[in-house]
Amino acid sequence: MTQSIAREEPTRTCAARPRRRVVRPWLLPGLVLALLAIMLAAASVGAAGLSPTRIAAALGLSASHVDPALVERDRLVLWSIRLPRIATATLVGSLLASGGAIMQGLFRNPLADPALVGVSSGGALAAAATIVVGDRLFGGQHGEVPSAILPLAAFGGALCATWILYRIATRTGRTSMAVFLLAGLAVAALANAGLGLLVLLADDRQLRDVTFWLLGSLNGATWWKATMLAPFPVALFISVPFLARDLDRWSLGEAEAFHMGTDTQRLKRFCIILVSAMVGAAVSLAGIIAFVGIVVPHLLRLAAGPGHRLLLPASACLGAGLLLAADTCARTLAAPAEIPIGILTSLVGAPIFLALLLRQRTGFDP
Amino acid sequence: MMRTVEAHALRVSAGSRRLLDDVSLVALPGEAVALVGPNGAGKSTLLRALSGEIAPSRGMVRLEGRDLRACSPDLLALRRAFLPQVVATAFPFTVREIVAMGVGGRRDGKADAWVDAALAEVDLDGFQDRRMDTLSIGERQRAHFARVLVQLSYGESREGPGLLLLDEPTSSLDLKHQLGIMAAARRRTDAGTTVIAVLHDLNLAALFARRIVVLRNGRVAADGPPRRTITDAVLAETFGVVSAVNRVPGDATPFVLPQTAGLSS
Repeated sequence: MTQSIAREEPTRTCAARPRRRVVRPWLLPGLVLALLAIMLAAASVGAAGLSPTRIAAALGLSASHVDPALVERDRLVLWSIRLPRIATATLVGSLLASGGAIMQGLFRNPLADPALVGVSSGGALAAAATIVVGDRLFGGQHGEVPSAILPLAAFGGALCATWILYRIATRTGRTSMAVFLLAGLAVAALANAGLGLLVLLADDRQLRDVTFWLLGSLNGATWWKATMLAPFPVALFISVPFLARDLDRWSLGEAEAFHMGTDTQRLKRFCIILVSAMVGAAVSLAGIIAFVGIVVPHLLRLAAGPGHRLLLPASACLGAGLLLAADTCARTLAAPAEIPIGILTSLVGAPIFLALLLRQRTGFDP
Repeated sequence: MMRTVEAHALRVSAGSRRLLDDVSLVALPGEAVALVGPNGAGKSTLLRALSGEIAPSRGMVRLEGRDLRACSPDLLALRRAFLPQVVATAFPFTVREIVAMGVGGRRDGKADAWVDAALAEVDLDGFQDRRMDTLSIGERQRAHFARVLVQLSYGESREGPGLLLLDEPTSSLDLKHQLGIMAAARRRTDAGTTVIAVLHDLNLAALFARRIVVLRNGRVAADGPPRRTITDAVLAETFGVVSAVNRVPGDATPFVLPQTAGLSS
């Protein structure tokens, strides 16, 4: 019977086939290798250039023929300046990119970004308020806010914004993601208005601090700051197996995810808490860095498909590599001055994003 | 015999409107039930209440004796599978990725075999690497049917025959695939699965189901084998259509011809 009925254009089946399948097994190992290479490059360039042999000697990895005094100086540069900054950049990049991937999954929209829904704005408002108002409370005449308070305030602000959004969007135990998104836009607008007011109130030095923070910077990274970020990627990697399965199902809709066995309310709550903690932590240490959270997952979806099992860890790796590369450029291109990294990521990220949109305009509308 | 699903005096309200009122329904293992009725009669609402997706404001649903409200989504997914009318896919997954979502996190030879079998059953083998958004509406509907079959196979492999809920599974399909999908559903009932399907095509309903439940204004208007439920009297009362029902001489199965039907005034 089936012979008489022609199959519907079987030739079309080849269209999307080979690339994803070829890319997939190599993607993660390739990204990890690339990240390591960028790390090595980032460790060697800067005000004091270090060749790979000198890096190895300073880290005690090779018997050195280098002058011991030089080794001692290199070690100081590496351990107290370069490596903490590399670690922080890597962690911030991985948090921003994987946070973006989760948030896009949660909103079922490839354009969702933590900056869009008030998480970053809440953190920025709290940070600016700390700089401007806190200065008067803590600092007296010339003092600055103790450096530990700023990240804590930013983190608190990000979580607080999320908590407000969650309460607004949740009725009778169900969270509406559409309401969450709309309320997020409103909260972001409010926070930006508050930022504007603070900028008006700020004196010159405060203004410079606020601006620098808003544009993003990894200047002043320490081991202590990097350590504060470290738990978040660990939490992400532990949760990938079930988070990936549930986010995949979630992309068919809330009802479908439920029918396939996902506790949808728990998934929403978990993702919201995880993303706001991850992004809040990244924002609190590095300021606002745009586009990493959108461009990275988008690139990876094009290369390897939207399955979250690969997308989440790959986003973390690629985000880490890209942000580390951007930060290395930020501190070397205009040395001894430093370009705010948020400017660099937007400057490079936005055209890339537009080019991708131009190349591939299908697949966005359901 | 253990009842697969049992709804007792269900009421589902949206605001002040009652979508379902005092609806009771019992389905046994291996039974094929069709839900029919005019638009807005509450067919989809009943199906979603049976699946646990919406909670009734009054009454209760039991799945194999267990109160639905006490079941976790995980457990429910092992015992029943649900095919919705429309599914919007947010990201460009391939057909195989979508179908494989039915097996949860399981990735092994057996899961692959279920996926292959389900794809063949809906006549989509060869489409597995196609992106979902490049498929026609009917092909997408068949892919989701395959996903639901895989979920059912997975659950049944662990806990025995379950429940398959289908909301207009043939609404976008050509004649060949309408018959193919309903035949696949019937094969499942032969193996003990209970199938409850919302159908608009009364002929398909009479062909597929040994029992038809007619809903009207959120209430059960008739419940029984096709020859007792697809009658001129029932159709006039529920659909407002007169003398549409015909019978093949010597065969009890009724069929409906639009050509002989008229609208009751």
